[in-house]
Amino acid sequence: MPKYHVSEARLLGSRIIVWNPEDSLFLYKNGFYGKPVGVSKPKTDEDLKTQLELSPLEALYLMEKQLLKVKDLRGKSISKKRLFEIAKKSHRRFNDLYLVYKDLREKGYVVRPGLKFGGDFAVYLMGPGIDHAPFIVHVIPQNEKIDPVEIVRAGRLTHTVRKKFVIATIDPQSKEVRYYMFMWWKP
Amino acid sequence: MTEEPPTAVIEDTEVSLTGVAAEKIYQGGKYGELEKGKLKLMPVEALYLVKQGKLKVVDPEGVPLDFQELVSRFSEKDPLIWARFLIYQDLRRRGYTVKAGYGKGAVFRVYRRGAKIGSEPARYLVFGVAEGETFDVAFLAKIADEARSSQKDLILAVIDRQGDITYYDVSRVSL
Repeated sequence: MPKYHVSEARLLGSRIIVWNPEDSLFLYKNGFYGKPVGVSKPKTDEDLKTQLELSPLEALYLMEKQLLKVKDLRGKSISKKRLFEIAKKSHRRFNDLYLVYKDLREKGYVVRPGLKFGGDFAVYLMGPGIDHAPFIVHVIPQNEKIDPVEIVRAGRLTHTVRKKFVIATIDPQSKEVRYYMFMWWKP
Repeated sequence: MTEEPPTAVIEDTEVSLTGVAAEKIYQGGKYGELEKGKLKLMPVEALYLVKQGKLKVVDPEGVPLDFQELVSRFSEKDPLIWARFLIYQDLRRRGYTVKAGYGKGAVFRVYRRGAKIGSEPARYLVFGVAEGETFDVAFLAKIADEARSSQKDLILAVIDRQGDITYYDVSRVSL
């Protein structure tokens, strides 16, 4: 398999689908991007040789890395800017989510959706199925206030699920991503 | 016969006392700031001592103010006084020495149990937030930096609608 391989995806409404099984295999095996359609826990290469759905965050990041081209159904190229605009409409916090997603990917982590764990991202050192205890990252947008309920939830999740729950914020001035951990403290 | 508690005078919202009584309350720096024989107490300290029956507060005419009247008086200037008091009281009861933090907001410096006040720094920086209130991402960044640069643990005290307090240790992590 080539080390550098540009995959192609098609935009279907606001969903992004990779149709070529070779592309699916490459993207999933090189950083755990996307989800093979209809396969919940892919184990073998065969599981991956199907369509792959990418989240808008993943697609944009891969485009930025020049590992992905996105086209519309007629085969016309879609720019990064255009995709960003479409994605922004699909998620209220998209801008901040992307900054955090990118920061984590650039640090070398495997970043997967974290909704089922109660946060925005499940973050792995190696990847799902390899390390079993991801930490959960939740993003609080820069122009929003922090509600203590979020802190309580974060502390509670860290305590009971025994997973690290991290809150990410973006410094409004420097745009630097900051991570905080909240642990229940017995006085 | 029970001993009469010492009497402090309140002017506006400043509570202070002098003399032997001041020394006694000050006891090694646990309450207030002692300056030239005059002990100045923070509102929360005055409330705590009054509630404990260890202090009496009178106005400049000598009219005593009870706990409730003191709370009302302080709350005119500081709407967060009750939340502050709850945190202060909770930590005191647990044996910590609690001093005012720097800047605004319900922030306290908290010393470890049995600390020698004046000869060691506070161990924790505690800030309180009540259920329903929110705070800025920028404020969190500011106090997290402040705690880190002064080598204190940052503790967030969340007060629920019945005054119950839960504490969280906050640390900035670099992933």
